[in-house]
Amino acid sequence: MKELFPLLAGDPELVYLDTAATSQKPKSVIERLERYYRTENANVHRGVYELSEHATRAFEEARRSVARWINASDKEVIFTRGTTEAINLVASSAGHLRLSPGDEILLTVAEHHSNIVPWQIAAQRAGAKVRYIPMTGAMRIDLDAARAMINPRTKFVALAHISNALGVIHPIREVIALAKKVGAWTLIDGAQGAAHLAIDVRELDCDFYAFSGHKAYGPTGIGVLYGKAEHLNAMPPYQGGGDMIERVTLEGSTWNELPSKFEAGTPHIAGAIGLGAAIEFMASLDLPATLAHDRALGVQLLEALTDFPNVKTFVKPGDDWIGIVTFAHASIHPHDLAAICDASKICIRAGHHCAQPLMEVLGVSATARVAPALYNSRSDIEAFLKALRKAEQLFA
Amino acid sequence: MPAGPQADWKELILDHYKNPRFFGEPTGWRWDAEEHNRTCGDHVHVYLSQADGLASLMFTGAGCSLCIASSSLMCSLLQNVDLETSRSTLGQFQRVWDQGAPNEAAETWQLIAALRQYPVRSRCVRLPWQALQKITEVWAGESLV
Ligand SMILES: Cc1ncc(COP(=O)(O)O)c(C=O)c1O
Repeated sequence: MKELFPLLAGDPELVYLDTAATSQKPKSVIERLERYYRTENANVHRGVYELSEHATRAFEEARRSVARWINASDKEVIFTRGTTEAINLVASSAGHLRLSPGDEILLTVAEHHSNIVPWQIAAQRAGAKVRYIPMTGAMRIDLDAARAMINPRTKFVALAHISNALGVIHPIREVIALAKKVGAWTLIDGAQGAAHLAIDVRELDCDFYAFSGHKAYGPTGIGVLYGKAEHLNAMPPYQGGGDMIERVTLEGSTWNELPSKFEAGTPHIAGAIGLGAAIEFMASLDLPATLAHDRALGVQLLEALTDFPNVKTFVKPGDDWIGIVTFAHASIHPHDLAAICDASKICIRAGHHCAQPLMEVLGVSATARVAPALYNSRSDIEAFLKALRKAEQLFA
Repeated sequence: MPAGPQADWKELILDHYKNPRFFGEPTGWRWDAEEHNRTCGDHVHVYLSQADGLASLMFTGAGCSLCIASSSLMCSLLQNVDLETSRSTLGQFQRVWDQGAPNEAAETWQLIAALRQYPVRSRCVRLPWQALQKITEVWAGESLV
């Protein structure tokens, strides 16, 4: 697989184990971006000349690819900067529409900051309250608690499809069903989910699904918000500017139809087209087999870590786990471990993984994280273990 | 960058981490300041004791090797010093952190300058110095009255 990824192919010694932060990019995506800038670059939805018409067709074709990939209609696919912007859009715009004092927003304690802070802002503005579903000791969502917490005041339920810090696939179907019973709108943070699983938003029946291109083999700076058309139509615009208006007078403006209503300004045209190429790449993969490969590497690492008495892990493998291994070390700070790994050209993540509330649940301030992916092999895990032994020698 | 092989300064930093100088809470300290880095849970607590108008620093805390080594180096520089030296050492840290250490600078500054190659961890290194900044301001306010 490494040969399909120019950065990895060009540096065979590099061991990249931080794919949960961002994936490496396949050649096809890089080449598509370059082709766009070399031969197709023009602004979209504006020029009435062929170059612009061509760019617009390529941009809209990318939207159709995304829509087909997640089983949505074209107008339900809003291009954003990423997951973070997509969640902010919903929390702000749908928050305006739906939140009143005393209402509740339900999240989990394991969320990424980008699925916490936008809701806190919306809640503060509306006088609403944010509540958090706890995790069980096995670091799975406590569904009984969720059942008890969801009530008629719950206006939004938002949670990750897959936790970036734990690698656990959350039981989103069950949570969506619970939310439906009280008429709450659901948002799935698919930053990790869309990179590992085939997504069918109709089958999930979620109200919103957000993801980032860069974690799913695509470019940075582009992401997607899927929203049910009826909701998006009812919601006020998030940003004002070009493209999102139908008519502007000095007294006021009327909004363009979907999806343009939520795409103010010149979009990330190259990014969207590159994302289209990334989806083509994902469509060429056997996703379940890829997931099994990642999980097997995670199991290899977990098993080897049982030989390290100072290492504490938090998650047991299962079918609802994608192979991400997060751990704490009794005597090595995660920063130091990451630096030792780096000296051997091994990239791992150290820190709170933008999930400080979860770190509190785990009882640590920071952890190290190894996130294997399709281009990693057993020897990458062995290289990491060697670096870990070296760090133990140095810091013991 | 100090002279000699790259491993040298790394070993010296590691030594400051494993055997931090001036570690502990002194009895009868005059001022203190605490700093946290919430992104990785590091925290340092810096104490200033005074004798005959001169100040000495000690620290406690937990953190990564850069944070602890930086604290240890900082306290090594500030033993039996007056307010002016405390201020100028802060200024010197800022200069070294921004521009690196001149060749003729002391080894302590060369070590601090070596830490500049970890920009992502700059907050770890700066943590004890931020505490010193606070303490120095209090000290300066006191000496005005
Ligand atoms: C679960 C999860 N949600 C949200 C995000 C934020 O994604 P982005 O920074 O691409 O907007 C991330 C990225 O780390 C993530 O892992």
